[in-house]
Amino acid sequence: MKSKNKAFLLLLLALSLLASCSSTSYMLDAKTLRSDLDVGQALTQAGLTEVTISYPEVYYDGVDWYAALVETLEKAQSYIILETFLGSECDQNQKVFDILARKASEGVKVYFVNDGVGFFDMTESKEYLRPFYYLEDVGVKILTVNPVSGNRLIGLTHMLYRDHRKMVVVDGLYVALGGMNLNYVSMNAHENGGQRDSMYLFKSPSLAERLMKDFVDFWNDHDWRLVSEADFPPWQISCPEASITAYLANQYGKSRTIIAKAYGILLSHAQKKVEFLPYLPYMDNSMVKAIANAAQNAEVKILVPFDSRRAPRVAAQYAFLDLMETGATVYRENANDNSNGLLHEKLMIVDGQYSVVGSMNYNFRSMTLSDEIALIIDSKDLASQLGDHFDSLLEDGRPLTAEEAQSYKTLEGALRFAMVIIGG
Amino acid sequence: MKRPIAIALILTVCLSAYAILAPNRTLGYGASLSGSSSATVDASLNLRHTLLNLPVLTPSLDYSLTLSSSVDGLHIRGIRAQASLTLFRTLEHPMRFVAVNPTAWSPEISAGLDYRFRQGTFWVLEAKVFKFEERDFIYEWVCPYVCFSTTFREVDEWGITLMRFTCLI
Repeated sequence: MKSKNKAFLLLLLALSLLASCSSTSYMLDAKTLRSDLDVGQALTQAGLTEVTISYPEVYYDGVDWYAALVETLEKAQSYIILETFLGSECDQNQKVFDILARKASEGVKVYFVNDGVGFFDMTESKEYLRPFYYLEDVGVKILTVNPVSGNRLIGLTHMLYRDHRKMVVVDGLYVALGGMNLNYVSMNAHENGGQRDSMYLFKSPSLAERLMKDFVDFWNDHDWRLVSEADFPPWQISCPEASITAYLANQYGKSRTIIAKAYGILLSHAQKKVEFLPYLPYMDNSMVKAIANAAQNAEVKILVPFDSRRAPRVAAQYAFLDLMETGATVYRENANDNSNGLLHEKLMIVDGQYSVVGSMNYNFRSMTLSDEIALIIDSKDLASQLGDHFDSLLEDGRPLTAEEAQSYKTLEGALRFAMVIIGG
Repeated sequence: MKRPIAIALILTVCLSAYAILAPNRTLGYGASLSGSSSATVDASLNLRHTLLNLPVLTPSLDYSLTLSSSVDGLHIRGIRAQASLTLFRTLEHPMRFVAVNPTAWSPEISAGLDYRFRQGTFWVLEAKVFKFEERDFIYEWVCPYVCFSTTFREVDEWGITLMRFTCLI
């Protein structure tokens, strides 16, 4: 090929990549980080929705969460929305699918959203997964977001975008958010190979109403079977338990910026301490700088889980030095019996006041390429409870030294990091 | 070489800007494979622009750049521009198995110009009977087309688009 032609093709390729390029720079943007606003004002200014929630029930074990999910779904009279990233039927979650089928046959509106990579689950769940499309026959409406199939390979841009949210909404009152999928490793006990993770169950008519408005918008953008807000009537009875202020960041569709903005605001407002479970710290420069901003004024503790899978572990290790250079204290979870169940939890606690929970990791993919859901809860009591939990996790960790972090800056680490910065 | 680069640059910038500003699912890109009576196998890169998202009689514009393989070897055959009209959409059809999510059957007719670098300009008519749509993706199979001379007096060639997949952004 002539050199001119090569140059032309390279130019086109570069332009195509540039056109689809994403950035997290707005998390440091002056418009986002307005110092004249308090945290709540800054979050709402950035587009988050203020809601009120009850004090949540917190679940760290898949078996406990499974029981709570079953109980919550059984209460449904009007509608159920269940959204998950990795969804598959297995013995460990069979009851959930049975309830969805029964409720749909009883006339409850049941919508089940899962991401298209669910059947390419790379966790241990792949040994156990079963399809669930038979649910359509009993009236459950299933949407698979960006399905992965040979025909659709032409849509590479679509393949990059994934729906990583995990959410349950029942009857305009019950809302659950967190990191647990609806698959074998999330629904299993730690001692049987289940992941360590968290789910939060709230009563909140205002949160449910906001989520249903977003759901109608999202569903109609993806499915021909149109729905309307009238299909999901709001909860009519007062809910005095819902008295805690929280801020919802529901990231989907064309503009994926709101999660990063929320992190940017919280980190820039930190004055005392930040306790952080990022799960996969595959960050770009802006994300590193946001942590450095926090570390200027506050004590930042970051716990990175031990991942027994080599590829993500080596990639995460590559980021350790960058994390340390922010001024944060970086803890590495020890490889022991506990770490056999991967710590999949995502959590940030700021100044013993604000707790960030939801589906998002602190990585480039969650900030720019995935649909994610985060709730920032303004509660000292909850922050204290979650802080104790964070401290208990730290007991299984050790602070990294600069020498150790430096030793992970290898060519293999760089290559694996380059792969996962987009891949997640 | 300078002119094609400049055109490609302008097109890329314009399309990128449009893709950001356009309403969801009105711009698409894709690829197709077809065979013609001129003993060629053609692979095309396609762009699609839905002008108005109507429930029936949806108008759109389709552009394609075709790479052709024949006994003469591999060459860029030409470009095709068509105006298309989706006649209707219905979820009630027996081909639900074509995709994971529910698809709408949405037959379409197209008419336009086929410019071949070696042969000149022809009219083209295409019937897309087996066209199925998800919200973000279009599947088309076995779409016959006919190319006429510009005077419509003679059929130059006919062919079948075996498959065409379009990703809507």
